[in-house]
Amino acid sequence: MKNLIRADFFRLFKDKIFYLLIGIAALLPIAANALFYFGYDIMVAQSPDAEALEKALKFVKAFPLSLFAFEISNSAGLLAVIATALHVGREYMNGTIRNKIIAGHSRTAVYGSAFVVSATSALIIVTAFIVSMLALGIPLQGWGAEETLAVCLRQYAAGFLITLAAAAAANMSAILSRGIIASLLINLGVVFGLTGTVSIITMLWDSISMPTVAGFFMKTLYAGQLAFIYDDFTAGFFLTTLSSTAVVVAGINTIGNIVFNRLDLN
Amino acid sequence: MDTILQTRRLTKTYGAVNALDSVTMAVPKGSIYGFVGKNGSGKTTLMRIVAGLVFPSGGEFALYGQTKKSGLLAARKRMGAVIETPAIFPNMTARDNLKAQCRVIGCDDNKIGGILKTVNLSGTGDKKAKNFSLGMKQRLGIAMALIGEPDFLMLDEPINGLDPEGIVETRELLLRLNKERGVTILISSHILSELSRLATHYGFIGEGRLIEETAASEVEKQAAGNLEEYFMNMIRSSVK
Repeated sequence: MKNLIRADFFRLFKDKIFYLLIGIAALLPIAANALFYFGYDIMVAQSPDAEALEKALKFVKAFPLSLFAFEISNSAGLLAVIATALHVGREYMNGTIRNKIIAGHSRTAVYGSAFVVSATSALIIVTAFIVSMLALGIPLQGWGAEETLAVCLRQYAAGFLITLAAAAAANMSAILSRGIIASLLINLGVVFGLTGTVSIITMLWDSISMPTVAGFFMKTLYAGQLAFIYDDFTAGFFLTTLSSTAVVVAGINTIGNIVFNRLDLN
Repeated sequence: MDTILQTRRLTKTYGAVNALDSVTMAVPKGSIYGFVGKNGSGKTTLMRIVAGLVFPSGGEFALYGQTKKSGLLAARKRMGAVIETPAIFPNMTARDNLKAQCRVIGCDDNKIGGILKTVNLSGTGDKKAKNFSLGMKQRLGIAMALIGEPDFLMLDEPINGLDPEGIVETRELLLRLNKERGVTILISSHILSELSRLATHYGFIGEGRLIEETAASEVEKQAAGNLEEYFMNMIRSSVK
């Protein structure tokens, strides 16, 4: 599998679209920070419920850096999923995945290598997002009134873990859908579907008392974690994310690999 | 004579369709085995199964005598293949394509120059593969298959769409590989006149079934080396 990982990284680092996605990941927090910094007063003034909005914005101002963890999983996660769909999908499009199988590599090794590269590209994209966000976020928003380094790091780590789970899902759909268009559509559909689910969970947030069975599942599921990452800054949440990411990644990779080992390739 | 590839009652079904129907054939070591049949007769399906891309529905095959999964993985390290279209990265140069494949098989980049020379692509420089002619793409596909120095090559329609010069170049390359390096070649083609200049053995397949397996010397004896005539006679008699 070492050879396959080397080959996949060789191709990843030659891909201009990958660098474009890193660039977009770096630009997003710049735009978000600038909008928040320069548009704060306008947003409050123009809101139909200015009091509620100001309350929400004050919360953001208290945790300006760690709250971005939500965006890490959402925006950077979306970019990471696109990177994976393109990287794996192209191998089907131009038939080069055949070269790996014909060269005597097992399907499991091909699948594993694709996951390693998908996870690493997600890490790189998330890192670009975080670095850019800190570089502009600290000077513009300052260090939030209630922000601590531990909370910040924990939220970023949680954001990365959730993105890692998304990368595993994207890798599975890209490999099993056997095409670049299909994998892009599935992956984007999953991301937007999850974002919708997050909105629903966020709306239900106040009616969920913890701990309950529903609450446990919401915390464990991907979309639930996305919702919670916005509101739960405790060490316990991070541990839940860590363990459920391990379960999600292992589960997705196991299922994906079993199916891939039974799949006929073109 | 040793056999590189031996299939026994190899079968592949897609739903109710038998793409390959109990095919038993043998590719002798050192031969150029011409695989002849109409479109959809099962040639590509058989090659896909041997390459590990498609799983058989029945029967078995031995590659270098290996039939089990782990043995087949090891045996495939000794083979190269171009199935249907050349599997290349269009946004990379010929050299980068070979570098990527070198990493896949764990070979030394120093081999690349020699391989490019072998397939007459050493002068392509920074030109991306997507800008290559069909013949150049085909030769790059063959170069990708050759980089691991295989002693068994499987080529599916390698001269399809090539201009006369490309056909001659490919033919000379394959003959050179066979004679100088002893590479065994399983090759399918619709251009029977061209195949007859290469092949030492033939397998004729129709509707997923192997109709006949014979040596080129037999074709020479029965049809004065005219493969088209031999093929048509055989099809006619198999219909009767």
